[in-house]
Amino acid sequence: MRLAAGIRGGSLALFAVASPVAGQVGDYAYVGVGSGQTTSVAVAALHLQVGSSDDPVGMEGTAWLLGAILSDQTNAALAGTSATVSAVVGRSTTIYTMTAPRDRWGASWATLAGVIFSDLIQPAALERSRAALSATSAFEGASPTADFGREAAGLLAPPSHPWAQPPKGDSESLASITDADLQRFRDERYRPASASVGLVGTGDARDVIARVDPAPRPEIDSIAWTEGRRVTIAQDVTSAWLAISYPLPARAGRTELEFITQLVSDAVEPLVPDPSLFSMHVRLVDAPHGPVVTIETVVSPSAAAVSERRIMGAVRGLAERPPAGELFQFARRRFRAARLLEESYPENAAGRIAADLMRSGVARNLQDEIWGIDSRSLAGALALLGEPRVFFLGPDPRGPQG
Amino acid sequence: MPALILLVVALLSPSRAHAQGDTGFLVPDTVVQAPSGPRIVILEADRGGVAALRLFVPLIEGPAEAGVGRILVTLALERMAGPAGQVGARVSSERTPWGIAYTAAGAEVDLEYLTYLLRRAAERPQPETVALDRARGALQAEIERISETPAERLLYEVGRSAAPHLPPATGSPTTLGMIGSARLQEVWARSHNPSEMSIVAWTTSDPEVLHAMLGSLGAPETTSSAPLDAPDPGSALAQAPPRLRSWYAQAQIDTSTSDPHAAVAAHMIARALQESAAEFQASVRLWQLRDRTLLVVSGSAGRGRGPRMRAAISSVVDQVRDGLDAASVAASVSEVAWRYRLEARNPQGLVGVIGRALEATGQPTGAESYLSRLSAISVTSLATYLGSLSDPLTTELLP
Repeated sequence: MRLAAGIRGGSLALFAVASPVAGQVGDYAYVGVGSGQTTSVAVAALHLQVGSSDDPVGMEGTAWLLGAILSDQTNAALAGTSATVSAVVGRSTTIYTMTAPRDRWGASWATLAGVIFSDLIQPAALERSRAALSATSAFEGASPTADFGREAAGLLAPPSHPWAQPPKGDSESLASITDADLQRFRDERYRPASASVGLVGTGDARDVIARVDPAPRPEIDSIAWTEGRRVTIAQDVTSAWLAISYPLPARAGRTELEFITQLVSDAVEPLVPDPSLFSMHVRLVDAPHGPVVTIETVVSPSAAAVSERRIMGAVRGLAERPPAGELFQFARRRFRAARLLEESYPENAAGRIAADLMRSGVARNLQDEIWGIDSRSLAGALALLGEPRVFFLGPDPRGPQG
Repeated sequence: MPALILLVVALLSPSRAHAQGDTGFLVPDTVVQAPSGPRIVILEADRGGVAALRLFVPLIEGPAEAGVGRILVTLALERMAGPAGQVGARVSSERTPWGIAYTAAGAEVDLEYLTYLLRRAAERPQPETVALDRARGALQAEIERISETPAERLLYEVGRSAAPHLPPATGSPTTLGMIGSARLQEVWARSHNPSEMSIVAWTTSDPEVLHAMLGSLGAPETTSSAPLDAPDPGSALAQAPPRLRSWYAQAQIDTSTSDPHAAVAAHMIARALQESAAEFQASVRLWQLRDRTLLVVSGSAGRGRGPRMRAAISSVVDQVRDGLDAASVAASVSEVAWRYRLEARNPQGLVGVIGRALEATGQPTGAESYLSRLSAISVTSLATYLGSLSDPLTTELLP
């Protein structure tokens, strides 16, 4: 008996595959169908538990290169059908997203599955993707962005953990990867039986996928770290880069974690435009030992210290005085609208369903889950925010003499 | 309180969910005409939990008031943006060839608030000098950018020669200088007439409920008047800075506003020009105007390559017409149809696609009709279409 999935709230039909099905989907761990959404196209998201942290030593960039090659080869195979595929390779996941005409999604999916899991790596596609990735790597490698990304990721994972290694490798590691290496990596890591699929706009697919009983949600109760830390790298650059990360309680539930991320984002955004603030991104990161909310900002060096204090003060204020009453209602209302609008794009909905299934075996009914969050549970989760880890890269705050 | 009476103009389909066929998703479920109010086109929403509303206001600018529509668009967006942020709604406003469209999207349970946002968008602009100056300044900067950017200047000039009777949507430095609060309010009162408006709505609510939520939109009908009947004060661009490359554009006029042949022709011309990519850079643009569509082919080339570029652009339409075959036409039709579907893949995109077709044709089924006619395009019909285009109007910018 293989994996099963459940139905929550009636808007998602979730099925596990009982056997390979002709031309549609193969032997996948989970398949979730978003049946409550009308759309003019069909979208399938294939979620694999393979990422840059699986790259063999000395061959960093393998997962990225493979994702680029296989999406390239799939698009070539789909040419003339209107269907297209894109790949996003993360530190621990690879997601292929296919958008296709509704009346031809089955055939397009069969093509995608054939290329992704079976077709040989084509040398021309390898060289094309390697050249493109090497160029990107060389460009980014010479900028502070690469240093910042590497060091900031290092703070979120245990020392020497492969999760934190540069996801795209470097020109040397990319040059060393052969088609045989990629083939081997794919054979070992790309397994339908450990992949999930999210479908939107395909109909409920009951005619091709057997339905089985829901699987229990695994209990997750870990935290990314228990001790805060601060790391500074002085570099002669024109901007200051800051990453401030807080470990989140995993047992809070995914929707609540996303809500907290939204609240942190609202709290740290300056109320009035700040000319010294060049960019700010707040995101939820699945670090190796637990979820983390990370605030990354680029500011004028002279404003770095103030920005750091302001951000940490805002997050502390949120934890100490969580939104309650009408403020909570408004915040939840904003969050619900933002998430629903995001999911109104079928590619986002399919990707989220696939990710949910991979994470917990169950795809969420977002409306119900968001509505189920109350101010008390939110306050409890915010109270469990851990000690921050802070990374600073920029001109030495003590001046040129150090 | 008098009972609300809505005239059901046409019940187009029992439900899009049940509509069979390839284009059913573009067929509205209900169309009603509210007495002294807007025409309401309902697309029955699914359980996705999102509502999307597009309010259209027809607007024709006189030559001396060119640019007013764009300023109204900017001011309306400023009025909507703050309140939209309170509930996480997304809002936008745009100047279309036929008027102004305001869009609000958010959670279905916030529908009443979304209608409030549209009321904010359509309300009388307040005479705030700072906001007006800012909007006018942004348009002036856009005109200056067009003046000194060869690709944009080329399009502007070829557009003016192909439709001299239509004032540029950006206005000109002269007309912008003439727009004050009084002119703004006058144009608003003339255009924001509720009975001329239309709304395309993706919602689970009935039209009666939506109409009640919308309340009184825009200006009272009695303020309607004609566009300012004053001559064009001049819309020539400032002198262009020196250039390093040759720039050339040709425009051919299609006198319709919703013929799908235009998009297929543009797609095939673009493919034909791709083969010349090493020689020069070229682009194809379908430019929708109020009463016509322009098929514009433009390009730029380095020194010595200008004549070859001009020759290639001048001959490309004939070249495409002479080389038409069933397979290439079918491929282009399929690609154009797919892009249409992609744009309509979520509620915001769908109300935009159906709304724009409604504005162009006056028909709630304009989008569905477009896609149906698109699928019927053949080698013969496309050859006839290409032969029906006007003689090319050309513009050139030399180094």
